[in-house]
Amino acid sequence: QSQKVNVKLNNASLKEALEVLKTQSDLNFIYNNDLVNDNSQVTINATNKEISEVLQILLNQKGLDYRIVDNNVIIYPVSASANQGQDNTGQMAQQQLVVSGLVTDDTGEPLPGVNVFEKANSANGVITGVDGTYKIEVGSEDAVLTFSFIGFQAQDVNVAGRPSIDITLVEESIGLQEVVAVGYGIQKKTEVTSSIAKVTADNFNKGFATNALQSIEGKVAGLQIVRTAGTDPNASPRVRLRGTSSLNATSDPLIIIDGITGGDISSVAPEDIESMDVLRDGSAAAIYGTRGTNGVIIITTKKGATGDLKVEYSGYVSTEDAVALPNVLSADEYRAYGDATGINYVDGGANTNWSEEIIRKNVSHVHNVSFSGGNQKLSYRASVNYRNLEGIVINTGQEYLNGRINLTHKGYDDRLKVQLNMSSTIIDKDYTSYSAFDMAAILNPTQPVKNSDGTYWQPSGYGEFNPVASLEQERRGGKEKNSQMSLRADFEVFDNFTLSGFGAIDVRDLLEHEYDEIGSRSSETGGYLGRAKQKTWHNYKKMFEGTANYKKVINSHVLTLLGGYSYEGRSYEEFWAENKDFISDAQKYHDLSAGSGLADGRAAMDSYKQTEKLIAFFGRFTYSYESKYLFSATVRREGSSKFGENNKWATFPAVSAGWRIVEEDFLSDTDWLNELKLRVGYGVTGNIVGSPYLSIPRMGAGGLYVLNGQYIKSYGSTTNPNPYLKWETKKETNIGVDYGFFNNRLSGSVDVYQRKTSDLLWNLVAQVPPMIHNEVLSNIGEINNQGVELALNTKILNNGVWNVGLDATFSYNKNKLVSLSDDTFQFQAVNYEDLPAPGQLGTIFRYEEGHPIGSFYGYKYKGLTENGEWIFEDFDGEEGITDADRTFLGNGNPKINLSFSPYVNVKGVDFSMNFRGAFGFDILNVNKMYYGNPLWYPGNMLRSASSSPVNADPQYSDYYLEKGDFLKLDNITLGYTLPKKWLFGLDYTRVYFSALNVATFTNYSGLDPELELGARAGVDQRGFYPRTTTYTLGLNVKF
Amino acid sequence: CTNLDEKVYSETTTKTFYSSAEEVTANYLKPYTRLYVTSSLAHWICGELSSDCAAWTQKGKHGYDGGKWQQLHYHTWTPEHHEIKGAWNNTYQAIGYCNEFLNNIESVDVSNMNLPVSIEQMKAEMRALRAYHYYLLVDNFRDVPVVTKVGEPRSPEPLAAADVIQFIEDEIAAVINDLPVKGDASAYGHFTKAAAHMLLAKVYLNSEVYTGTARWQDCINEVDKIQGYTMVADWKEPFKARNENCDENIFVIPFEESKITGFYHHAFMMHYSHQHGFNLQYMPWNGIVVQPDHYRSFDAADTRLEQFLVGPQFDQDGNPLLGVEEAKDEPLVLTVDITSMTNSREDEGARSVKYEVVVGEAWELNNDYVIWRYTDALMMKAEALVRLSKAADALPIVNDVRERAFGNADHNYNEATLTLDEFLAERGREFSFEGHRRQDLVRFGKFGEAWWDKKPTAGKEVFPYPLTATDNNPNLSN
Repeated sequence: QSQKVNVKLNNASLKEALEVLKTQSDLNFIYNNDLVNDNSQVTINATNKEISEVLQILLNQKGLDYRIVDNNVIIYPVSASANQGQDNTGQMAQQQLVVSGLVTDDTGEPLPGVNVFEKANSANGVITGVDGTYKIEVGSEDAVLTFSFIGFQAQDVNVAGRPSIDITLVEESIGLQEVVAVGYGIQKKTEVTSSIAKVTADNFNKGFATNALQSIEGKVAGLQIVRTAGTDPNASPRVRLRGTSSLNATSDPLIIIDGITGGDISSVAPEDIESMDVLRDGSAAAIYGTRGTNGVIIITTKKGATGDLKVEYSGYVSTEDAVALPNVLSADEYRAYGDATGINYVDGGANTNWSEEIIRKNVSHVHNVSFSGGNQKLSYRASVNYRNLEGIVINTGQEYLNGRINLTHKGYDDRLKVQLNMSSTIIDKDYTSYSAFDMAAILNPTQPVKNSDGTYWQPSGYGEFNPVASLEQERRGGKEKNSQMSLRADFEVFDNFTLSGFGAIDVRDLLEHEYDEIGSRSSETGGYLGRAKQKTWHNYKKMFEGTANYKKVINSHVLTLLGGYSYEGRSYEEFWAENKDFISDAQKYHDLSAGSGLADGRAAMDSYKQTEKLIAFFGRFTYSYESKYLFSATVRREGSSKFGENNKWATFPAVSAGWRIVEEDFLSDTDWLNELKLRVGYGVTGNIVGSPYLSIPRMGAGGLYVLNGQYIKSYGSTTNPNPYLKWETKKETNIGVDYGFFNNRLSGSVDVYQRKTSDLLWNLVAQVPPMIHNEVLSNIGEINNQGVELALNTKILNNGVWNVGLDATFSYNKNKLVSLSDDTFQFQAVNYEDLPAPGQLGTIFRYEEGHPIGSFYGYKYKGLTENGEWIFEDFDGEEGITDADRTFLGNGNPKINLSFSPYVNVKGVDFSMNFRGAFGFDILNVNKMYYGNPLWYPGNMLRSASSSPVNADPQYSDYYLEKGDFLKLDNITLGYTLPKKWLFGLDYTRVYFSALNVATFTNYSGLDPELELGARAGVDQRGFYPRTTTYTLGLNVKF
Repeated sequence: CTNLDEKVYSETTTKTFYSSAEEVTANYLKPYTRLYVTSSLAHWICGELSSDCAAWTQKGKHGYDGGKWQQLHYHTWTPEHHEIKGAWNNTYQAIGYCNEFLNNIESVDVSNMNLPVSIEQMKAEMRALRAYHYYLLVDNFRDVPVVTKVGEPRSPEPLAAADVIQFIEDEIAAVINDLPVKGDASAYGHFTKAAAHMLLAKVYLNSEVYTGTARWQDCINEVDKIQGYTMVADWKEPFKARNENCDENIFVIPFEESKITGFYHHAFMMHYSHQHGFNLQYMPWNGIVVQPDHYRSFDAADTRLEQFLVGPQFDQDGNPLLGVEEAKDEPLVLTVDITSMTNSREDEGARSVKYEVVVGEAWELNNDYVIWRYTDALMMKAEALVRLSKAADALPIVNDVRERAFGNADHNYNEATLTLDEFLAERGREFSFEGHRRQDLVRFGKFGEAWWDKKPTAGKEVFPYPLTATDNNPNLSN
């Protein structure tokens, strides 16, 4: 440690001395209270001395020594001491059982300084020595030993006559040592003044995951991660923080992977992630300025540790069962219905279950191998991740290969630290077709998949197709390659002043392909003989950040200052070409020139390029007094090339304060209280324009027109420019409490927030005339979100044998579109999102001031006539049902989300469950609306349709809205960690079985109530990916 | 390190455009590329589907489309109506592109550019094309704002229809001598002198409706100035797939497969299975049908009945086409009768194929869309004569049209039979599905009457300003 400190103390207690050192450094001190809490006193007078030297002087006075692991200073006696308590030789004379053993942490490192005492007689205790060993004589063979150490969970162990007991202590999940990523730096969790939730790898969801974000599903209150496409290997989950705050701009959080902003989550394997920090409120996210509104997820990958080479393997094999498929008529039921009702149908003579024809028994396997090690100067971690995810839908899947190297090197008396991170990924994707399942539901089940001549049977209806043929003959896929490299150097110019530079390159490429075979349905309806297309895009980003850190300590006052500059440049290029009319399917899309369509003017191509820049200056000031009163202020001045020339730059300030009430003297005697901190924060964040160039007048190529017998390309303006275009502004106030009771057996946080987003980016109706184009991207209006978030961690039982607990989150959010008007624009309402063909039954949603985003708007169902025809509420009084009879019907965004995860660990067996639920929302059951109607026949229909009282073509009304409330048993995991004696030298081996999406408790009659969020929330679409239960068998080994 | 200027790649900025003859020409052609949206789509859809001629019926589960077709038929549209909004926005967009050229060209030095046509002709065409689009706006909305600059003024106020008409007349008067004439290399597909006269004739024909002042003689005078066009012998010729050189067509939108695209009326009208009947390279939508009364307004001997598909339908080998929905796998027989606007079957309703559909047709038609043709000019003159009580002068014109349709003089009118009602009916037959019907019904005072599934309505002769326009312009309100 090269940190320098100033300490002047005369006859202080050792504890006081350590407190002073703690405030002047980023170190935590881990020690046994008994070692430090005696009445003897220490004296020290050190000016600008290395902390290591000061510690040595202090601890030598007490016969103690120390060791530094990461940022933790572990203090222990120079020699393992027996019987440091009162004399108890009398009892020893009766029972002479001596117990000895080794205490380690969960990485296998010996723990010195651990207090080991007899529970029934706490006076009889010893402290582990420098090598982590102890030896104690106990009163009886049934004595219970307690192992306790600050920062770790205490354990009770029944001796049960054993002479040797080795113990592994588990770190407190909310330990004093825990640090949190706060954006351009880290802070001790106890000193954080804004709303940040951290999830470390230990707490990740285990088992099958198509995406790393699934690892923290349900782990962070207020963060909704929704698998809108089930386990489609190529789909990303929808991620939303604290409600919908935008209409046209993105609602996705900013993802930062090892410092690279806007990282692609698929570029990091779940197994390589050390932790994810979620910056939830404005005061936390404001330092990310124009990209902070939707929250920031900081992903930190695992780094090498000092020590011997360690090898770790983790892998699993998974298979899936489709659990939710449309409940349609079987072939026999289909015939019987037609016969009974006398409706003409065609009997194709077959018995086809179309859904079964397009799903398969799939097997996916995932392997991750990592190597790590190093010495005090140089440490590294290298890993390889291979994933072969076979979709349950035929010809759907993904093969993924990722390599990653993280390297850290220190030099120049540890003043210079260099970190190099490299990651490279190739992904080979076979896309699925969501409409295939729509077709599978509605096709005549008496028709065969293939005709007797071997060709695929094809239906004749408008837009219909054979889904098996489609998945076989109209293949879509792509190969993605992405690589990231970053280099970071931190140089301590002088004490407490560090300059840092960070540079990164992030390159992503995709080469996609489409091929419709000559005999495919697309070829037939499109009027061509085979169609091939290739599309590629190239996304290149370069980043530079320079920061300076300064820290000043004046007695109990600690000030820190951070200043920085950030530059990000991005370029995106795209190119595609297609051809038609092939002689043979043999070459597919590998030889576009083989088609004759280009020569016939039936092929097309295009290319595109855009660039953008983001430049920022930022700073942070923090102040704390006695680690008790905490204050933080940040500001970011940021400019984007995408903003209009009149609004290029924006300022995003934030302030927050914390009060660690638990540190107050009046609470010093309350042993049951471990943490109580009040946090108040206010911050301004932005949301950036999606596409570049929207602020400047542009001319683009249009269609051809004729002049003098020639066809000539036309040019004209492409958009209404908006030179005033700027960011969306969100102002958020957050009040929170962190708490921990009963030795942190009950801990967590409560947050209440109010966020107002104004200057919404909205494709405003332009004044036509005099403008040319209908819309102009403008800043107008306001959305409010307010809510409550609770996080709770409980340890019900923790006695060294049983470890039982429950983690839970709860969040409530209320959303309102406050305004979409300004001086000239008087917003009435906008209806949006058309229902699909056939029929196109109008729009589903409506934006209206005073109503929440995602509000269903249509006719109110009143009843049916005797003939089964619709009766709707007639609100406007005019004859008949008109547009004016529509009304607000419900909302598809859950108001309440909760999750809870009980777990039990006993004797190497671990068992956990993860429940997730969403409440207070509605779902539009589009499937029921279309093929839940008896008039749909002779298309195949839901079984429920045959008893439906409806006898009219569908109309959109709340008849098809249902309560979406659900509770899911999302994950069950049962694992067993093998005892070391079985391992033949391996350090650690765990096998586990897990099941994903096990059960859904809901009254919703459709397939899966877990649906899209935001402006188009809660629509159970006709095209979908089947929901499955995934069964996984996994293995983790360390050696 | 703080430079945030944007650099464009796939487009160019307005600042640097107009640097060559090619760039100037490209911008001058831009408004023309919007003609199909303003004329063969927006104006045609609003005009025909609100009339007694065409309808987009609901067929089983198909064709509801948010109720917008029914609203057009029943005249129950609101300011939110999608197609009415399209008629406003698209027309003003075309005007905006004309303004863009006229505004920007002022500061461009073209003296050293080798332009394919003179800059005076370009400007004249832009101003005439802009005037044409103001005529469409007056026809649909009456009082509308007139703007001649992109982006200015903010919140323009509507001008009385009479003033808009005055603007059109002034503009045409100012530019008519610079417009191309039939026979010029640049005339095809462009706004010609004859089109300018036709525009004024249309304005004068409807002047009483637009402004309250009838100008029948002005209409006749303008028609008489249209030179070089004839009524061709075969009424089908103006609509053939290769109708580029038809001497009857005054103003067309030139369409050419894979070059100038956007004409797909046949997709609106034909049945799904006509894909197999005509070996089309796409599946039509089975949307717009012929109202039964319109079909029945034709005499059985009228050859113009051949523009409709009705009865059993066959493929090129003579095999019957089959239904796919309510008539699934039954032979497809198109009926003249239709149950109702809201409740019909896939096989109900005759279909208009006035524009020749070639077997093996691609998605886009090759036929040029006829905005105005000479027979219309003649019939306008005849109508003006009738209204000026000169029916005797009108008779030969109308009877020429009748004789062409029937191939003989047996069905000719005389002064007694050529009533105004009959005149309207004959216009309906001759210009069936050509996008003039709403205007004709309004001019004859019949637009509010009941027909087929529609009940009598009042005050629907003018479409409301779309909600989007009134939302964002405090000077516009319905």
